[in-house]
Amino acid sequence: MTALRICLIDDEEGFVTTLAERLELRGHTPIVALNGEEGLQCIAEHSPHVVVLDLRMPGIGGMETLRRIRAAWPKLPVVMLSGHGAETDIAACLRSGAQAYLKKPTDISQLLATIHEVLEPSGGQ
Amino acid sequence: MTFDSTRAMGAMTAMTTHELQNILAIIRESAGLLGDILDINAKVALQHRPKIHEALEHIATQVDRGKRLLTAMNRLGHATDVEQQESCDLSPQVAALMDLCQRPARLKEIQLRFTPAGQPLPVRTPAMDVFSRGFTVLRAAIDLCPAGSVLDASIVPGPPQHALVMTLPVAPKDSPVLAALAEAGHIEIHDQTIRLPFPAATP
Repeated sequence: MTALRICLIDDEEGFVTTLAERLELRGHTPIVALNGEEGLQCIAEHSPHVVVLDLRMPGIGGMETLRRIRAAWPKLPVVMLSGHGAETDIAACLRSGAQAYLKKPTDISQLLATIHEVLEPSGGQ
Repeated sequence: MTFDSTRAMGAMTAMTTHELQNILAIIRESAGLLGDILDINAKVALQHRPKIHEALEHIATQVDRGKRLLTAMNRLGHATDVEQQESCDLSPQVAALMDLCQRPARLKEIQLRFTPAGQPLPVRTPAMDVFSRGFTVLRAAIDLCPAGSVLDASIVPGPPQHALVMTLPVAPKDSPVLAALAEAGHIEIHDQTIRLPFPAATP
């Protein structure tokens, strides 16, 4: 299995640091950012293969972060992972260029399966 | 400008479910990390290893159960959203109602079986009204069913109406609540079946 650089952007520190440890145990390189601004900086610095992004965060929030990612890195796959699962939110994220949307809590194997799916050439299209 | 208690209650419910989903996510990941550590140290002798695995499985199962309930509660909270005040999709509201009513059914030792519609069914009814009407009828039906019985529910698509249909092992007319609702024309009762109709909307 290919080791991936996965940028995790989520303000729930207890969640995102534990998820990062679990990804690391599976041979991946997680990069953690606790808000949108930090996330954009991490992407610029580390060129991740994929971004896992929360929707509601302090500061610029997940939706604006997603728009800025799309503007700066049009081909970078983004998986939304959020406790906010209203249809309107999901539809808005997918319209704004997210490749997939998962609801918290989700199984790590499901998250990784989704990541691999969006990384395939036609993933999320 | 007036205070809208229902919308405030809905918004607070939705907000709280989001926060609880975050808490469940932390519990799941923390339990998962413990499981990962056990797995990578599989060859290290550890007393009570099977018990620890069993406890972690219990946590995962209960997190899934909590997620299902919170998803239904979140749906209830969002039922007061402006976009759902004139019309809504009947299918997810009824599915959430069934999840939320599993507990009263279980307390009465009744099996509540629901067959989802499997398709969007827009109705000209506010989402909150779907919940309140559905809950009133379903709760009365549960109260009427004897312990050990099965209550079957499904959605029968229209047009001109989509309907929530419940089949009981007893005659619904024996319930004063259901008899009064039928009398008032809110539901239809045929033998052991209750039909709660909602006017279909154009998709």
